Amino acid sequence: MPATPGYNPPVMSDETARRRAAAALDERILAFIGANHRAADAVAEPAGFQRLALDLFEHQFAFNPVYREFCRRRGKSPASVTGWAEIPAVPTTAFQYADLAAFAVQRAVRVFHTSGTTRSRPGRHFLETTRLYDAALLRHFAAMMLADAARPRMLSLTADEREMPHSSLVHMIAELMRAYDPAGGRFYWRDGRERFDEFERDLRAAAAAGQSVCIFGTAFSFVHWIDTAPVPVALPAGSRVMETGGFKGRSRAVSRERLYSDISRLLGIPQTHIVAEYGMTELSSQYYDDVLLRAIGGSPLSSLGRGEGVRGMSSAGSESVSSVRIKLPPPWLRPLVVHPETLEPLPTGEIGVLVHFDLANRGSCIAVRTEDRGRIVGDGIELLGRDDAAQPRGCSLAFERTTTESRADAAGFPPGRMP
Amino acid sequence: MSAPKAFHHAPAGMRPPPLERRLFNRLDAEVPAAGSADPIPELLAGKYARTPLPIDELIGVVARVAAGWMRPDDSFRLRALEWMPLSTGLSPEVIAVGLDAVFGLLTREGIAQWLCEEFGSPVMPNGPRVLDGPDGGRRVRTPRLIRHTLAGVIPYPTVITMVCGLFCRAVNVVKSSSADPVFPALFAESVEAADPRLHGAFLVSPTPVPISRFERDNPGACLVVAYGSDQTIADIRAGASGGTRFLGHPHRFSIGVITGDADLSAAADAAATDVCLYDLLGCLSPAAFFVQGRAAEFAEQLAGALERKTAALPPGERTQADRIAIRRSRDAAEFAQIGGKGVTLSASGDLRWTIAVFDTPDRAVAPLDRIVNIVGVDRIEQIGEFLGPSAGRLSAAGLATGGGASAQALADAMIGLGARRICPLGRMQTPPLAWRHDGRFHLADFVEWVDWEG
Repeated sequence: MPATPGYNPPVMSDETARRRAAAALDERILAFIGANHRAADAVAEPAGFQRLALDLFEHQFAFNPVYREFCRRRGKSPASVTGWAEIPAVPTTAFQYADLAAFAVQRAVRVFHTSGTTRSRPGRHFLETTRLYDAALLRHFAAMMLADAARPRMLSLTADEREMPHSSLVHMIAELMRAYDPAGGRFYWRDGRERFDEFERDLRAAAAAGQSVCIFGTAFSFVHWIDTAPVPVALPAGSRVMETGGFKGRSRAVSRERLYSDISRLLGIPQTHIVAEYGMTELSSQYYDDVLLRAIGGSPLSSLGRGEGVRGMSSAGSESVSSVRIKLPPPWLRPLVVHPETLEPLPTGEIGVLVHFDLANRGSCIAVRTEDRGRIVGDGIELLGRDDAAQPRGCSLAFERTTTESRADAAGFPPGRMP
Repeated sequence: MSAPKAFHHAPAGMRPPPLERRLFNRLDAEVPAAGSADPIPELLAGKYARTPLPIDELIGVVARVAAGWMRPDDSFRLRALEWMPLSTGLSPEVIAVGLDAVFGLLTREGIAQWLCEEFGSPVMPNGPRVLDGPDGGRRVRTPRLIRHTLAGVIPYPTVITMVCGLFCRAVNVVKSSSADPVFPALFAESVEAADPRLHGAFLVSPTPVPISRFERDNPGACLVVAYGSDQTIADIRAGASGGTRFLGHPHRFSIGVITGDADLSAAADAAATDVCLYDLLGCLSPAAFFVQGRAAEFAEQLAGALERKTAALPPGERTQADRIAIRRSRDAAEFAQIGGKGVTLSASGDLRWTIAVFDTPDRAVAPLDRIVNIVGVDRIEQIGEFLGPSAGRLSAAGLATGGGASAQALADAMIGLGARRICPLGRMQTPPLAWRHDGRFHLADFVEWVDWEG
């Protein structure tokens, strides 16, 4: 390993020491996730996050060789980084080209793949354990989606883990079903196709039984369902929807306003109960829209540690989806907005590229730079979408598509965008 | 400086599409008065179409217009330099070179030479005119209506296709590129300003003008010229009235080749010009430089040349999306380098330029916004192995060699590979007027030949 002035890394070959260090970090992170972080605790929390973040960075610098080289090229090391926001953030693209793991990837218990729909090669996120992932998932989901102590039946328009073992989203939904649905939940995508007939039958049964439901789905899966012109059903009060992801060319693209309006009309669910989840394969924690929390008067886990809590609630249940939805992170996940060219942090409120610092990412990289545009608003972020819009404006052929797509996997290069 | 019109003689009721890229909401979208929803019959019945100007006069007008655009204080040029950066994302300096590159060719002499190359005669025939002597020969039939669908951001193909339409004395319905709704409208306006008799020669619109009844009833009198992606061209072809002639110009790519005996410093300087002009967005832009033997050395020279060239030919203002895309390509190259996959990345401190050097000829990143691919090869044959079937899409090959037999051998290799144009490195972006775009005649393809055997 190249020498970094002022820093003496642990001996890499000492696997026992690595495991011990990892286990100790895991326990501290789990304790942080499990702590009762509410807004009232926020004053103390920044220090807790800071300490853990710096220790986690030191650990990853020592045991993730690709990340260490990435940091070294930027002159950054645990000796020079003094705050969590200074930790070098790897781009999501990196997960396509390198094994970003702070352990031997042969030890991975799960490998989550990106969809690869807009890239020629999926990114891979190796997990040495799912304990952190699951703890982070369950705690924040409960705070954001089940703050009213509801126990809805859980129905998912996605495939299940058997069919999509490398999907972090599917794992997430399956874990939520195991934890929060006594009946175990149900998936409506099997053997390569959607099972909307079964989905609608179960919706009608739930409505007849007065059983609230929580429906999971990607934006395009909802569009596919809407396109079948289903008969509207009035679901019991307390029912809710968790929507995630974009259209990825798998369905016609519709505006979020239109999508939520259709879902609301067809399911009898107020738009305040349609929550967009924002997560990604490269992270272990998620953000959720604050609309449901505001509607039911719940309290979030303190997020950015500024003690600002939740913004004033509008009239419950009547909020229009067109108003700004703020996505709230849990206390162990912090966003930073950086300039897309300089990658320098931007003042609060300015629009830039989102970087996430996720303590639950112990096995890979704590800091991940996305291609998503957004800005900090209050305790959360306003997500402005992925700017793939780099509009085709030239007349040059998408050279890389014709010459390298078929070789991309072997060569490890992306199709990039069409120039 | 007044905003250019998004529409030039657009039909009533036609409005610009929603904001695309940067500009539409700032364009003067006031629609000039038009008689009907289908403007084409009116244009065909207009004076321009009914009493076509002799070809000599048309050549004179075009030469006059071009000379005007070459003047630094020309109002059309100034408007283009103000507005095109907003639409195209290119810098004013690059646009200025692009305007000069095409208008500088359109002198009387240049046009005469061009027509000679296309028709074997210094002037294009005035309608049904015998070309080959008094006792027999050929006539040409020109289309009465031409639809042009433009693509990209480069003035050259826009000017050439519109001038060809003018020389055919056709009514020209021009759908401007979504990346540049400015220049076609300005050029059309400048032609009419030069000679009011040409009022009605062009209808320029950023949105498609519906097929008219005339086209349905007279497909043989119409021509469709389309630039764009395969899908765009297929869509336009499918939407054209049955029986209408069709000329498609699909997206292509070009390459630079530097042989082992070339002067690397001069080659790098020339390559930097080809990179900086149009920011690698054109079909004549080098998507990759294949360097025999000394790829790393060439990359180093090119980095210096790009730094120097940037002062005269700076990149345009980049959108946030552009910056993210550049970052993505850099990130990919960097992590491939970290992963030991035979890649070396060098880049400016900001996002002005990026060079990725590949040790083996089996990979590349997306070339865009001055992201340069350099591929090291030992043998020229490796270029063909790299391109594979996509060599069929090869447009130009810009060469830097030590001269002599090496140059001839390389040119032959490029011809064998499928290149449609071979030129010195540094001149890739400035083709001559007689350049046979896509390996075909240009103006001569607009007409139909009629053999008259006396």
